[in-house]
Amino acid sequence: MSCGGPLSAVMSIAGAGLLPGAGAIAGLGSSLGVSSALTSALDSFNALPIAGQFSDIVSSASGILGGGTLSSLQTLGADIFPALTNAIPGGFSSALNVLAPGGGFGGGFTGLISQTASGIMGSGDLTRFGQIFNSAQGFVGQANQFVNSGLNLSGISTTFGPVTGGMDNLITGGFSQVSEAFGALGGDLGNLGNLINMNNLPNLGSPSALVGQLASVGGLVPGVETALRQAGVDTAAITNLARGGLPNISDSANRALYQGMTQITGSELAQVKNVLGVRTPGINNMADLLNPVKILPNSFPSLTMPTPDGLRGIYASASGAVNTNLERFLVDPRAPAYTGDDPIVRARLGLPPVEAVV
Amino acid sequence: MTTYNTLKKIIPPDQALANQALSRSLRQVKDIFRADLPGVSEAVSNLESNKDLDLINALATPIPTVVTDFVGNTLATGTGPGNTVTTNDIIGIAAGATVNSELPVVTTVVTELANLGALTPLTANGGSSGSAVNGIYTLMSYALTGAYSSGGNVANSTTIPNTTHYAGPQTFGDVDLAFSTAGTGLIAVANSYISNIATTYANLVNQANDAANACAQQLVLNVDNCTAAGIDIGNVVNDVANANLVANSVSTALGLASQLHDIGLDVSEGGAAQFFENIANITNLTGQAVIASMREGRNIAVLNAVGIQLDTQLVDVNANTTVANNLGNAQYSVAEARANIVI
Repeated sequence: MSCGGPLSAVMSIAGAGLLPGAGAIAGLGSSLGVSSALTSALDSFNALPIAGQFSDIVSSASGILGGGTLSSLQTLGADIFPALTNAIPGGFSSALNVLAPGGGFGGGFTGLISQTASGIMGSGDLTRFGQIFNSAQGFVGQANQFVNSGLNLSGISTTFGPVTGGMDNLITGGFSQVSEAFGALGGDLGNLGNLINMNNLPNLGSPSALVGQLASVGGLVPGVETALRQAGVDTAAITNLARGGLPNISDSANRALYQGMTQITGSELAQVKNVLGVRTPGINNMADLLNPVKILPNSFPSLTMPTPDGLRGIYASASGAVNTNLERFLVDPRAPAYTGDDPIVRARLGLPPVEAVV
Repeated sequence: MTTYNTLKKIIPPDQALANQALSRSLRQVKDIFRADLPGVSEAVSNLESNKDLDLINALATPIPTVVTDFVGNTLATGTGPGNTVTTNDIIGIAAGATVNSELPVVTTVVTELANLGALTPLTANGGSSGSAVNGIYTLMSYALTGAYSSGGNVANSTTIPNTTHYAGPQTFGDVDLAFSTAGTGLIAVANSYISNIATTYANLVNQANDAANACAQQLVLNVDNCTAAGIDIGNVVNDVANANLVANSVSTALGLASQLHDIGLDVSEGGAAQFFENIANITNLTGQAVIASMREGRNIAVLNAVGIQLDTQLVDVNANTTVANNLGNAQYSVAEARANIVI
């Protein structure tokens, strides 16, 4: 059995140099090792006469001087000028106690650096280094995931809060601002088939938008075409609409179209519902498809809208009376604390694009 | 876009208001304009809220200050952007992080001080144990050989001679006391000279000390982050056999080799690619292959981004696998298929 993808040629060569024993094979050698620049820097320091002289002293003193005196020798000058004794700089002895208990190290500070580097590289066994590296990379990924979450806060903090529904808004992608009765809303939406074009939400409720969606999904049905003609929409526009063109009719024609929709019932209504896939009960004429109380019969009492004062019910009661307090917010386009991703709206409100919001 | 004021002239005002309000709510949903209604309904039906989680619902900020502070103090201790952790923050000492640039500063300063003669009180060597010009380190070296001890035995009475740099003779009970006695012991006298050097050549010494401290700080950073990452750095350095690492793990080697493309993609300062550039044995074939693999990984990334595939990967080992011969044959022959046809 094989797993994973194949290695490339250079990866195979590199991998050979990671395997145990590779270092002893002529023409192969170990792929990795302590940085040669580090080794060079350490060698240069250790080659200083004073460094060599003091290193010899420490080596000779081991076994002659008592532990306390030897420790004093190893930390001589650590707080003043540690380079003259190759001591671990005094301020760090405690933090490095796990490597050099007592603040001293047999090979001095450069010895400690060298041995630490060697240890990380597996002390001659690169497979040990591989395990250390994997642990390190795992930590980098996990820690930075936490840290970056904090860094990205500024993006979402601008719109976070009770006004937009707090954490519910975040964990539901904003749907909690529509309704928190997800089961009922989802059920109602599921009965609507393709009634609503999510890419045309700004025109929700417009008769022409509904006709456009009908034409887009399955084509115009005769009753609707008649309603369009009676509304004064010319043949060219109707033809264009039937071909998927965007409805663009006057307000008065749109009003007349709505009136025409109220007359579409029975089999013609059934045709419309069939084309759109609407299964919602209680739809008596095509105009009902523009009435949220009719199309969302179970969930409409739970519908909300974001306002500067927080989420507010769209309906004042379960009987279907609309909350007229919302009217003032709909007149002012700046009113809601916008968390949607429409780039034009976000730019207008001075909000960062959604790509910056994690 | 249909405004409320327009819509309420077209359809009943209450419906216009409800539609506009609903439209505004729906447009709050991220990416909703890319979805279709059946998909939205399916998703909404399965959404869950923070119902009954009063503390979560009461939050005024996405992540409270107490959390960000704690996370910051615990995890945001690295040197990357926003204090993120880099590879060098954990194991960078092996790649010479900080040390490669700072230790030469120390070396240069000490060399310069030696050239100035500032180190003579410590290092002067007259060539014999009795030389009158011996510095303190030289006296230390001779003392440890028993040169100043009675009978040559360091456990006996030890007399450090007078020299240009040592106010002797001073007699101590043994060589240990010759080192450790306050005031006149060799360690105390050396310490005094080191202090004088640090004072006299403060600018140079500060340069060296800052550089040495930077090296030490790199070590501390690695120790702290290794500990946080679950790496037993104490034993890794001093007793690798007990560092909870599997020796000669072939699978680890193979896994590491297969990561080289990804490692090469981390080109951040202090990141994995920089780390591997520094630890690759550039003088041999396999070390150069490490660097080539990382370059290859970056090439694949930039070429894939424009839809171009690289033909660098070797044939999958599956191609060399012998198919097991005891599996059932699940294909009809033409004759068998024909026999199954109903006319």
